[in-house]
Amino acid sequence: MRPDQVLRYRIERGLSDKTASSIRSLLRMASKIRISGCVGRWPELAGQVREIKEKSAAGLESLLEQAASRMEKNGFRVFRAATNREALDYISGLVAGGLVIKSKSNAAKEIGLARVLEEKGCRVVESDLGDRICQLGNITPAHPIGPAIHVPVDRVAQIFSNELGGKIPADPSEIVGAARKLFRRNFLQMDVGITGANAIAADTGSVVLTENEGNIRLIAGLAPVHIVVAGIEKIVPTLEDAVKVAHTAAVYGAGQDIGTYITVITGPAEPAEVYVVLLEQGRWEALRENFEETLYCINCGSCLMECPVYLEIGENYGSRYVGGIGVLQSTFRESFQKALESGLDLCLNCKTCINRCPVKIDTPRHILRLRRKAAPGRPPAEKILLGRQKAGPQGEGAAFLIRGAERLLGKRDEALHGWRLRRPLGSVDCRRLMPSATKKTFLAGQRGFTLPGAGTRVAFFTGCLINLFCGEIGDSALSLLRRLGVEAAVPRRQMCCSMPNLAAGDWEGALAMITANIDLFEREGADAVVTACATCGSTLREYPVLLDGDPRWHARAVSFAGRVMDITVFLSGLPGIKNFRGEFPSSVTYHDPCHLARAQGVREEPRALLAGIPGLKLAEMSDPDACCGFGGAFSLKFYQLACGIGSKKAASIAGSGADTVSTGCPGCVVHLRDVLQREGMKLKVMHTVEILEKALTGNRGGVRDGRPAGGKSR
Amino acid sequence: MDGRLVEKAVKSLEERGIRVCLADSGAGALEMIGEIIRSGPVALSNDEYIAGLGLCQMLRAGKIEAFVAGGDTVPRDPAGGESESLSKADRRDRLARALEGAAWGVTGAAAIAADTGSILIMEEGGCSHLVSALPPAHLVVAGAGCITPTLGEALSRCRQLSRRSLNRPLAGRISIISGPSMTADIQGVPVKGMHGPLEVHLVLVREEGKEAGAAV
Ligand code: SF4
Repeated sequence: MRPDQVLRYRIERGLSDKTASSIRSLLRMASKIRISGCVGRWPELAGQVREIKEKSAAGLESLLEQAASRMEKNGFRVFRAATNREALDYISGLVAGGLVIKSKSNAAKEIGLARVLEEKGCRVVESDLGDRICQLGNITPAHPIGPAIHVPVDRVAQIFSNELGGKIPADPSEIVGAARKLFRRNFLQMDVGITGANAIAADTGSVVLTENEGNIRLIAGLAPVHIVVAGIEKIVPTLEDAVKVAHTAAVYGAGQDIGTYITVITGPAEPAEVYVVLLEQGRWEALRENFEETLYCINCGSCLMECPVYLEIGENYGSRYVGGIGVLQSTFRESFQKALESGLDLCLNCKTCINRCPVKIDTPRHILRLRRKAAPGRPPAEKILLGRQKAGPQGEGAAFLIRGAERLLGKRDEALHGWRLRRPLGSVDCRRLMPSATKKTFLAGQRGFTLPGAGTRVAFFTGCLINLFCGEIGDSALSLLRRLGVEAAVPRRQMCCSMPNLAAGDWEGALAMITANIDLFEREGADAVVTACATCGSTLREYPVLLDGDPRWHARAVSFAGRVMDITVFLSGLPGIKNFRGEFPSSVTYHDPCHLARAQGVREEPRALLAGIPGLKLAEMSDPDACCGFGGAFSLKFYQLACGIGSKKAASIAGSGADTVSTGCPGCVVHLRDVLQREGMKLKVMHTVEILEKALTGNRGGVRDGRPAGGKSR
Repeated sequence: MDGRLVEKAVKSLEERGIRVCLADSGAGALEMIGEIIRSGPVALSNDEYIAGLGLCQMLRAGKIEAFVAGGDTVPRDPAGGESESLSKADRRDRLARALEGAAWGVTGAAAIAADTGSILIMEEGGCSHLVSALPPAHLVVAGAGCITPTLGEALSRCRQLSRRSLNRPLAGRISIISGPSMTADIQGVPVKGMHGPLEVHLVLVREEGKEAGAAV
């Protein structure tokens, strides 16, 4: 099977497992407040651990030497395994057979240790209760934190009754009591114990482990042979650092002030032997290719809790490590093919995970970087479309293809002002409601000159979506600016911000457009570059990062990016913005675009602008900054996923009781309109500037179902 | 002694589910332990501080079975075999079985972290580790002098104690304990006592000028 076929299969499998999906939602709801409260009580941990991990990755070679020699001195046997195979062979050589008791260990899972030992004839017992329930009942784990949380209590009782004999009542405490006895028998007969490590302290040569149940402590205290398997990225400079990592994992992973147990093992409990297997597989490659951030991960799982894709399909997103970070790990630790199969294309770039991550790993950015390798394998139609992007201003190079597709392959939906494909085209779903391209693009409709305003002069960065499909948003933006006395130029030759190309891995195309934009807007010489597209705005502001290390362009990119501003931020600073002539008598809920709220930190301005409008009642929805599921090409290629994510958004919107949704990104506007009509909801979706303009000019206009009337370019 | 530090530590420890009693002297501590431990067998870690308190004698006087685990002391073989001839592995095995039958494990503490509410038990051989891990209830007796403001400082204290008494950077084991053993793996219901103790008690002795027992 091709990687994209494997991925589709995994998506299907994830979407069809409703039990697991409801568990994920429940766990998310249950842990959300607990985790954020707990993180608030330990504000200094995240920054400290980030620093520890930066230092560790930068000095990994010498730390590894130091840790290994210190541990040898402490009486451990240390084995450096260059590959998974080496680790497996070494451990197989140590374990002759008998009873092996395991705790949860990412590295053991990574190398597939349990299976290999079982094949050797060992009896392998998982000692984490949830894992043991799954193991005994032959049940697929539902969640990394609560693997058996979906198993009904009477089924669990039955599983342990079968093991112990007798009948255990279907009550969690009774079962735990019985399971404890059963486990104890195992522990007292254990031949070999296997654990991972949360961290390894190089200065003292200590293995540090955290947990709540106490199984790791029993392994560490009772195993005649204790094998620790850990990736070399777990090594940190000092004991204090290592304990901090373990502490942070509990705070961010479980919302616990500290794990019940942190065990620091610095010497074997005689006569027991301790073996430490340090796994190198793929770690050096990650470092060499400047993906050192991926080695900062402390496996707390916090990023998963709010990841829209993970919430939809669970462990099907990722490989041996789960989620977006798991895709990154699999690139280096497994193969690029595995990364493709496990969802390199699924990241929506919503940036939710970065906020949640204690070490602030920029997973979306690294995923974009890796997609570069995927570019040559894209389907021909996609390559042609992307290639056309740089052939003309914002989307115009590909406009004839898009218009042609609508005319030849599309079926118009008059009521919804859009169209759908008659039958699927490549991976594009025919249920997706597409916006119709306007006859004349927004840019083509602009005068070639600007009327001088009273003061500030800005350049308006339009963006492909506004240029081709949502001209009315651009009209409102310009009308607002000009009414408030701002001279707004609209450079005719402006190019796409480059996000579609970056997202598909076409860096060459992207860089051509990026440099063209910098050049063009420099010549424009405006005080600010204003945009009404959240995604364009965030991409433009990332130009310096994208051109990092380019001596010709970097400084220019910095100065350009410094002038880019979301239109709501710019408007908030204008004196006339409160002089409303009309009103907007509606209940409005505001959806935070990912690329405005998280990428640019703009949350307050649009709300304040809306709240100032006479007659307008601002009704907050729950999770206003949760992603709507658009993600550009994502919503075309993975429509079902985009709709699943969108449904959750629709439920939040419905809960607000509002009759209008306002948002700051034309992408969100397009997607939300499709999502809401699917859900049978009759709300209007408008860009914030459209509402503002109507209130400011007093021209409310009629608002037809879902689409404002009077779009001038229509 | 810093009263506010003690107060803060007690608050955090209790938030973690550890039951704390404050005693003003060793004698007071013994009295409190007598109230808490009503039946045996009781396993005591081989710890100077605990030995100095005379806890073992007190328990036995109250007709509660008590034994010291670790060091040279090996619990009596129920079958009546000789202790001296046992191999290290057999001794350990027998210790584990004796602890498995114990109702209480009693240890000292090397440090207590006030910020996280954690008890740090440090030792070289691994006996205190088992005393605090196997029995269903764990009682810690420690002087309030071992309380440090933060977990980081508690670790520094462990380093100092290791240097002083072992002349090594760090002793073989530190167990950082912040509550009773827990699981929520069955339908998310929290249950205590999965693999470790269901109860953790701390008797904190506020004795002026006396250094806490560091179980190394
Ligand atoms: S990437 Fe995810 S699992 Fe790793 S440290 Fe960050 S939040 Fe935790």
